[in-house]
Amino acid sequence: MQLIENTEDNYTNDQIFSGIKNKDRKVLEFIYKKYYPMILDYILKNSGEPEDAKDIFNDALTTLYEKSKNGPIEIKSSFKTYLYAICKNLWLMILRRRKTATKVNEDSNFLTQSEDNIENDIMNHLKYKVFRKHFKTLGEDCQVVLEMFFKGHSLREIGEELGFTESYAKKKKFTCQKNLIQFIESDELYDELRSE
Amino acid sequence: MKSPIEDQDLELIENVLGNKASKEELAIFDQRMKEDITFANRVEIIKTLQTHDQHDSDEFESTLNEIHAEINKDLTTLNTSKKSGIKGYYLSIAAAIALLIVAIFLLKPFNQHISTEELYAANFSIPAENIITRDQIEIDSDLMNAINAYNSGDFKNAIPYFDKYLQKDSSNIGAQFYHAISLLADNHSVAGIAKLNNLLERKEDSIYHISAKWYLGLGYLQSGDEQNAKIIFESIADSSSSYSLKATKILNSLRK
Repeated sequence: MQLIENTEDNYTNDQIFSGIKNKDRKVLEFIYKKYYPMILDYILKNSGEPEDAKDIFNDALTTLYEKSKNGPIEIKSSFKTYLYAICKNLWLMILRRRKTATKVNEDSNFLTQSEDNIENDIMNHLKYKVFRKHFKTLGEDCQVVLEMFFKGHSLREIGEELGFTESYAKKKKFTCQKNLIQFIESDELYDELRSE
Repeated sequence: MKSPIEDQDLELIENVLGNKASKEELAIFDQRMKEDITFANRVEIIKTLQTHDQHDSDEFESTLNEIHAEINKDLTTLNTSKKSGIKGYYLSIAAAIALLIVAIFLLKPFNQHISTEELYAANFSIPAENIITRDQIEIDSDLMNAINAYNSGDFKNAIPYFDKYLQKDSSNIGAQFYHAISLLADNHSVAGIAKLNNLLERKEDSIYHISAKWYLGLGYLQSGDEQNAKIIFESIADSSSSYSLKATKILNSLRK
């Protein structure tokens, strides 16, 4: 087990990832207090605002949260280096989107690592974020129909919940899915993420 | 130009993802995945939505936002205390009053009943303003005036500016929240409670949600509505939010 470098707290990488997976507030507060200032400093030095730092930091942790659900996360470096690499990749993507012609300060202590497919994890998180954004713009009935459907409820159960016949529930489900897919496909960010 | 989404495509995807596809359907599916990139992307969308619990991610992000707000508040308080001028003056007075109230509160004989107004005064503090305006090219002048007045501790003047701004854009949750706080700070508890209740009725989780609940509880204390205050603080105490310990303490005081 690898201890986090330069900390008095004995959180191992495993404990941190387990804390993230379980939404352990104590662990999340530790991560925030320990590493957010480092990311804030990096973003501010590279054309960003404090609000960007918050978005990037939260996106990085949510990326890890979503990844942790697919199985244990194993890394070769320290958590600090790994988190920094995710934040840096995320920020470079944002700068590319904003078409900011800025020379990003390189810090020799933190090399962007390619371990564990960081870019893929980030892409998956950002795509899912787009999906969630558009899901929330659907009507309430559509959200209920799709949520129940995605959780494996039968059309009969969906119909019973909403007072529909089974055949109408099926029709409604198709309509809602089509609307959602259309919204997602017309999203500029999703288009960019697909072509990355 | 993307191909239209057909019911039969959705049914095919559903059958394959649900392991209910026939051999023929599987063969068609594999073929489409290889040749039709739009189809493959649609499969990815449906598969992702099926395998992720959206509320779970929302809840996680909401926790992060709460932690950020706490840390940001600490940083802002630290920065603010270094600044001089009118804002520093107002804050010094507010801090002195708060200390005095807390001292009176602590000096009360053990087990003596503490009034709702006293509990409100001991727990109410002005949250640091954190309205997100970065995506706007030009910040609305009424909002700007409201923020400036709020940051100067001039809540009487902040209220009409927030009112005016929110009539133009009622979707700014941050402005709604600080509007409500200004109303409580200026002793308009009924109006403040109504605004906070409106904000909490909104479906989407916002970074202000848990704070709004906390201040709603304090609003009820301010107005002497002990029953509703208890309901709110009980729900906060049961949550894992950063306010839960403080809510438990208030409930203990109310039970004495």
